[in-house]
Amino acid sequence: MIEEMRTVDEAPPREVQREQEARLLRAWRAPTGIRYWSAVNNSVVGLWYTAATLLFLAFGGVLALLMRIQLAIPNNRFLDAETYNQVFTVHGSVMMFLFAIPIFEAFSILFLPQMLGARDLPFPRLSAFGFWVFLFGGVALCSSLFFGAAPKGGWFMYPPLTSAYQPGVGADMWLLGFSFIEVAAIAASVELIIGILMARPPGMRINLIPLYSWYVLVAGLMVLFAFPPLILGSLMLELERAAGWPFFDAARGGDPLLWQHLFWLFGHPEVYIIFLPSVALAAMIIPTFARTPIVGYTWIVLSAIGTGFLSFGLWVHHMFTTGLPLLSLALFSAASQAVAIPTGIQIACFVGTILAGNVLRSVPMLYLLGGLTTFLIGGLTGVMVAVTAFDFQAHDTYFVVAHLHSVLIGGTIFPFVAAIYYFYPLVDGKLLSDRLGRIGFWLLFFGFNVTFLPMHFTGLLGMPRRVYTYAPGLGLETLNLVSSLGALLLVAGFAVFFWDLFRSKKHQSVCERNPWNAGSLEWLQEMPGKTYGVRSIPEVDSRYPLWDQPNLTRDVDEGRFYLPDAEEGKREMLITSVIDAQPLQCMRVPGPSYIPLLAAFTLAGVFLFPTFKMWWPAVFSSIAALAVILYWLWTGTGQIPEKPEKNVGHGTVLPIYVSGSKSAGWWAMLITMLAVFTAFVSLLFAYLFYWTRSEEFVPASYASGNPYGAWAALGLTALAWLCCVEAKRQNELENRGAFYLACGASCAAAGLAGVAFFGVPAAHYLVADQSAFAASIWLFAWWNVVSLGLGVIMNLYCVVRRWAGRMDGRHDMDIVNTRLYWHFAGLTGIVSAGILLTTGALQ
Amino acid sequence: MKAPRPEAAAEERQGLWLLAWPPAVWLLYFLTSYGVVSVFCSGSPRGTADAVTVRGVIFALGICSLSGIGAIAWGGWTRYQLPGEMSSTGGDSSEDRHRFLGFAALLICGLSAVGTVYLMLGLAIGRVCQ
Repeated sequence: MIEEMRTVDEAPPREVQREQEARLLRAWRAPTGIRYWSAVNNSVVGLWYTAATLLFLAFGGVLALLMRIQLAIPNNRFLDAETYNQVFTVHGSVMMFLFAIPIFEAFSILFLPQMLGARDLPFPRLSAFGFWVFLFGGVALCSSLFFGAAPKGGWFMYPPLTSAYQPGVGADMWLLGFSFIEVAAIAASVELIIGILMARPPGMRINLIPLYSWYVLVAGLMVLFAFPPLILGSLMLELERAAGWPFFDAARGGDPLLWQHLFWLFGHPEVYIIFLPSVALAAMIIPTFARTPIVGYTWIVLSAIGTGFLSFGLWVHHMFTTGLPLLSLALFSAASQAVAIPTGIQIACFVGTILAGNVLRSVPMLYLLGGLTTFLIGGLTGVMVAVTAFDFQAHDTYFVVAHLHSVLIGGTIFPFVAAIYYFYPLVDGKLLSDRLGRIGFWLLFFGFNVTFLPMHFTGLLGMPRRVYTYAPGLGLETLNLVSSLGALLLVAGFAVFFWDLFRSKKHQSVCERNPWNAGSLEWLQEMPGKTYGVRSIPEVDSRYPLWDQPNLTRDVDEGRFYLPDAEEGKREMLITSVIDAQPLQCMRVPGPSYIPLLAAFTLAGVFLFPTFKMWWPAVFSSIAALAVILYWLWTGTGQIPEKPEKNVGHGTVLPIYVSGSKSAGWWAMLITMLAVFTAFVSLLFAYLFYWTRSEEFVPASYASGNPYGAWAALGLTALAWLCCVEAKRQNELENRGAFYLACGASCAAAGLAGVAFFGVPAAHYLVADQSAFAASIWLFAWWNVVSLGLGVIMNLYCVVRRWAGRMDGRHDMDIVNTRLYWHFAGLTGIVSAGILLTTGALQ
Repeated sequence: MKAPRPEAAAEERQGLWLLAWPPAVWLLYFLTSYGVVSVFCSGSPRGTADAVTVRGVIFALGICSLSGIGAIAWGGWTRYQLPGEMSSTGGDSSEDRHRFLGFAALLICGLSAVGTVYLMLGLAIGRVCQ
């Protein structure tokens, strides 16, 4: 066996080091003044993102306090029923969509590059775009409450309550607003997954990556597969509300239960999307304070992956009382019990690490242990409600409220507060107050338990959720009053925490470097940090490099490793291989720009104008958004470099331009398309769901109708796909004419395929608002028309790039990614046409 | 079976799929079982079946899934058995990474197998189809 020797270069002279550092600072400088808002550095965007999620947490908390005031005494008149309904809906939605999920993305954008010794994530503008989308969507939703126009159907928006019975704009705001915000979540996932797989420091093999990365990788992948069913469900419900397409209207062949399936296909994995990053934080913090490496690294990886998969088999345990077959309930109950195993393994590993080490008492550990204890209580009551017989009794009562808050507060808020105390020096170079941290913790811990422990009993006594008041004499008064008093303690705890976080620290001295004496790479950072992150990108050969690699900090600071300079004034980072982190590419990333802000702003119009039935502004916004995104791609991606290769230091020469499966952009396209295809698979699920539920779902006239339209759609889609594949080949061969011809043929075939898709429901005289079947067929048609239309735009984009000399046979990223898109668009079209063809036969 | 030689640990022969396949087999089994139950036990007009038949089909699928998971576990085991010791703190050689992937796959196979057996036990308890 040949051991690879880790070497470091000779340090350049001090004068050279200073010049290198100055160039790095210039290249990575975050803009100031009004241009500050065009920043794309992860250290700035991550900070905005985190601050915004904390503000939304505070807003959701105030709403919770309003509810507790209302419920403190029976027959209270503090809030009326209408307002209370809006308040609990917005509270749940804000906490889930605007705090619990985005806080992990915000934290990861802020700290993941440091944990990986990277200068930034591979798509900084995508991070900024995601943040602006999140902010615009969140502010729109929250502000609706002040106009009495907020959603009021609960955070899960069950129809028909949210369709036929709620005519206002509130439900539309929820459906379109959160679909918009989910775009931000998917954008962040793409960024984080590729960052973990391809932006690691050389030597950081897959068995050495920080556990935080494993968890974020799993959670990011879960977002890709969990969010699309909800996006599809939201689209369908909005179509029912806005255009009368009766997907969930039982009277016209729809089924309201389908919404519950689509929602919980998202909703249960979402619990683990929230929880896993919190465990990840514990896995980073506990070894530091136990002064020992984590016990059971591989077991924790097993748990992260296992939990990710198992969480997709639990969704029906939110629907135990909907009358599903008993055998179904048995299957979901078994899966719900099984997920406790990996969760238990993780906690056992943490306890093992604490026992194996010599634990230092600290505020982060206090919050972590408090959080794990609280989560354990929620986990155990979760096992209780996973037992169907018990769930039948406890369903929709305050017992479930107590359970879910134990899981979410114990599994999210406590660990994230711990992480804020732990990581704060990386942001500001200063420590938060130990004394205020302890006071805040005990207020929060007691406040939480005084608030939520009584709710178990309130629920067992039969108090239902989501009621704005209750009658006296039912034995609920004392328990509710205690819960409300506990809420005041919680408020006090949060007030102390926020004060400590936001108080001025101008007169506080900068803390020492690596103040916790941690072993992980992010603590290489100087205090306060520099915009370029690390001075040179190190070579890593341990899970705890700061503990195990002697002189690492000195070697990094002296620029002895990779990319110690920015000679061309460009922002550069290393792309490495997925398994062994071998250097593959010196990737150039774009700098500050208003384009992400503008793209988010125009896209906001696409989603938010339809809420108010403002169709023309929505159309103009769509055109504007498309124009901005094309400009973004034209100016910011696929740039042909002035030289093919670059010496990145440490004796390594790497290409600057890479296309295909070795490029980060190709993987971004693949991951995005996986999410889109998952939404399409959800549509197939919905269609099959209808099909199994009713023998009359497919009308006899359709079954006996002519199949030519569907055959044409199938053939033309396949032709468009193949022409794009051929275009890529002709580009590679430098046959310009044949390339243009193939792209044109692909566009023409796609156009005709779109006509054929529309022709199928039109030829059968299907009217979308007449039945769920007709609506489904029209949705298939529209889906493919949009998908093919995007393919046409991408083909034309490649033609113009080639014509303008921005793409050739060697620099072919655009057409390679377009071909990848067509693989998915082609498959979607062919499967859709297949469904249209076989529906009649199956009938 | 002979343990693989160290060249088997070259990066191009590795992949993360070994970690994803076992729970994917479980998920496929789970979804197939759910589909079978949904069609045949929900009073759907598309088909009816008695509980014994449905449980029999799902039980047979469970055995197939366990076989698949077992085969992947064997692959994990052979990777884990690469000559040399597994470092408790990671290790930075390609052999260390190879053993890690094998061991992680083995553990995930164990969890997936337990999850599959849980589902089969659920069928043993749920004696009524609808």
